[in-house]
Amino acid sequence: MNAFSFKQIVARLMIIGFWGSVILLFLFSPRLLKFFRKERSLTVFTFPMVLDADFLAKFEKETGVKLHISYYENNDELLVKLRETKGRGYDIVIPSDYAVELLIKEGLLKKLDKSKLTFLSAIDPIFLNLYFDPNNEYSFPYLWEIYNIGFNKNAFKAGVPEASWDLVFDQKRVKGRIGMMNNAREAILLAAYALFGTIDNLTSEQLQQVKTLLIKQKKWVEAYTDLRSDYLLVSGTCPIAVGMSGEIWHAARFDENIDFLIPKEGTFLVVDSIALAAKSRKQDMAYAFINYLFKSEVVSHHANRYSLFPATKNVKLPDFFVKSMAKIKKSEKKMNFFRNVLSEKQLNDIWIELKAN
Amino acid sequence: MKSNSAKAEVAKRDRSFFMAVPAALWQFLFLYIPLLFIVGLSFLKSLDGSIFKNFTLHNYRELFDLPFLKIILRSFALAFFNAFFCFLISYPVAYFLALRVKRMKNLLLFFLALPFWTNFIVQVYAWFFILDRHGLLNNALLKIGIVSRPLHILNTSAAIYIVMLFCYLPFMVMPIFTSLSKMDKFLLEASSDLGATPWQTFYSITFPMSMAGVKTGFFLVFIPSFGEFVIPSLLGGGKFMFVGSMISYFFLETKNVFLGSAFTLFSVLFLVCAALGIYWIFKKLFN
Amino acid sequence: MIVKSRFSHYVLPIFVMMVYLMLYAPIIVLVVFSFNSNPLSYQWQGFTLGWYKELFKSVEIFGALKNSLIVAFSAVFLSVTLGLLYVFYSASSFLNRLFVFFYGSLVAPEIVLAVGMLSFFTFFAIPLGIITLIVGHTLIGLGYVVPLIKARLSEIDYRLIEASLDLGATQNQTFVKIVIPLLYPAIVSSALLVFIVSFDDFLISFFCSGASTLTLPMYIFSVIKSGATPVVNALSTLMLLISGLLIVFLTSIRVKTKVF
Repeated sequence: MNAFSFKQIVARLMIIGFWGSVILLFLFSPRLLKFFRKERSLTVFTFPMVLDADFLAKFEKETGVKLHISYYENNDELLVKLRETKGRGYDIVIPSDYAVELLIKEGLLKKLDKSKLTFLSAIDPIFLNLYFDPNNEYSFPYLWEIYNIGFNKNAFKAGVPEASWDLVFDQKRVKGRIGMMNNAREAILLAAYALFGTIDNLTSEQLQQVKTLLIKQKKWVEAYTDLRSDYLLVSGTCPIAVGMSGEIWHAARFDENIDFLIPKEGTFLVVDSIALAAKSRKQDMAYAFINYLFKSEVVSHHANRYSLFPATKNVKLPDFFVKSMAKIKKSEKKMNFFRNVLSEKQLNDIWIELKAN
Repeated sequence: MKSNSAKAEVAKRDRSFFMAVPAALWQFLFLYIPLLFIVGLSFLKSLDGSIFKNFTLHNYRELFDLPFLKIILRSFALAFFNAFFCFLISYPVAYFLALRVKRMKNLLLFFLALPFWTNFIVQVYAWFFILDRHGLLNNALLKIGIVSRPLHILNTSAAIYIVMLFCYLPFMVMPIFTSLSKMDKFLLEASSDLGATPWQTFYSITFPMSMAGVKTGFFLVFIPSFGEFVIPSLLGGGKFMFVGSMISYFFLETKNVFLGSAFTLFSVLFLVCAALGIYWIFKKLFN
Repeated sequence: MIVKSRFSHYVLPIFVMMVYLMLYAPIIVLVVFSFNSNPLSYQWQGFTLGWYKELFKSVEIFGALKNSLIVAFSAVFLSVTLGLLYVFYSASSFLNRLFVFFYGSLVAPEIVLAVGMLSFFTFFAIPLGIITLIVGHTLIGLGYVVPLIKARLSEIDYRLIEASLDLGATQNQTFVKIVIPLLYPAIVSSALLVFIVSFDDFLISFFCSGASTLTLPMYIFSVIKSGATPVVNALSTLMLLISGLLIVFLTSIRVKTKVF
């Protein structure tokens, strides 16, 4: 019984092969099913707090196209997931500026057929032809935000503090702990900007200084968060929080003690654009969805719900928005983008050491 | 009888093989091959081109550039102390349930197991309501007057340790409870009949006889705690990276799965060595 | 007579009670706050059922729930079936020696399994989604099912199986008519166990689910990170209720077995 005859070995191998193929079939079944079923659905990959899934159920009802929405926490996650699948499996993606540049370079986005888009005239020209997609061949700006400093008026009874990045990086200016953003690229470039006034051509000595500053700052950071700065402010946990305008204004609308500052040195702009993934094959549905997204009432809903600014004109906005936009346009000259100027190794070098300490 | 003829025997073996293979194949295909993948990826620097061209030990060298060792040690400390604190709290509870409770034993066991079966993330989320600046704990302490300002617990390591402790508690209580329940109670009676005080009985009889359960519980807590990802990332305010969050960072936020695989492999090796070391210490101390 | 020290007579019960209290305080607060009318902070402001209404209207949550259920049921079905077949049919062949490999998924930290599977799937361009989730959860399930059923199989009287074979039943008939009914409690309890583990699982889902599949734990996690409203409390309360019911069911089966 111990020795296996040749015939037995072959039989065993065939059995293993049989089950192996069954499993393989199982694994690849979604691909095959899609081939046959032609389900009317779209996969949307977006940053949370940009699209309202429940609201978009209306689109599903109107067109019969089912929406699968999933979320990435930051652009790096988006990049990694798209790279892994080489652009397959997703239809609509909503990357931020520098991510668009990277995606275009890696061929993960599909060129848009502008003749199918109905909203081109509605877009505010300031947001067209930006550095990451000149001529807007692959993407169109949808909503934008700026980074600003949210503060709780209760903590500054002496008066509104001077708007400067010192509030974030100089412990003497703020009593208490602050909120800082949890994104390697953004935090590091912000620190570099606060130190040197620019994010271009950073030498390794300069990066060392950035690292030292961030590690020093960690002592009075309450939390690194991308999306919880509103809570930190409203609950009184932090007198100051760095965050995106959507978050901070969400808090300001909820609690009149919260207000925001745009640092005099200038700040960063983030533009979320809508793009098509390279291997998406659902052209008509995708274009229908994009056109739907850019409809005035849809933009207005999202802008309102998540306190974001629309890149389109003629959108009905509450007073608070109009006032804020005026405040921003005053410092419009010093708006920068978080461009992709640092290599991954440089970012990791600083970020990992920051988190390990 | 049918099974006597050799042909039928062979056919039966083939049929058995046929039925039993899928599970084994599944296990190898989706557990061991992926693990081999991780090992393989850790020695590559890129997936374009042939394997031999891309072979490199550079990933491992890079592991010593950055403070990865600090992160691994931090996870080790978390795992070890979590297991230790769990032990301190669990042993009395297990002892009480096994040896001191008669009527309500099943009910109490049920209530102990219940949090274990609820969704992990829900449990962690629930702790926010206790540990927050305006949460239950601070409100209670302020009202009673023990502290004059709210304690800063959330977004610190303290929060991580506290929640880890309570989430892993059932893992430690159950084995110790089982071990103590199996103990022969006559030994305890004999010991006290022979004049030993309760503490002496405990020290020389009860505790040693429960060692098997303690060991099991310790490792049931230690090993998962090392790779824990959810609790540190939600409760630490994003300030601390542990092995789990580091691995997640590599695989989901950067392009570098190669360095990530090297880190994963290195952490697993560290874990195995640490676990073996602790096991050896256990043997030396308590045998 | 076992003499108890004064310590263990007074201090111990109080200590244990405090531990139970601390174990349950968060959950109780969570449930209570699902009725809190203040959406942003952890302070009580007023009673409302609004969050539950919002919960039932939410398309996203129902989508996540649907996914979690589909994955859980499939994982249970696959792992119990494959596990049963393996345990019974491997008894007489060398595959039996491979049994120890089924402990691998319990011993290795789950995050290592998750990233391993992720790398494996992406390398072979296997589409990430519900199927890969089911595969991952079935793997974890096998790690529970196989040891449990094997333990129970070794407990039942092997002479019953021998008798059945001697009386002329084929191996398959023996399996279906004798072994499965005898293993019934182990099958049900391991099925429940796999269901709960799969439904609650976060790590494998987080890494291996791809774009279109959001499971319930993933949803809760992303909502916590981005700012949770008490809708999550309402959802959690319902999940707690269901878990509780499942446990009662599980323990009642165990009780029935002991009587049997």
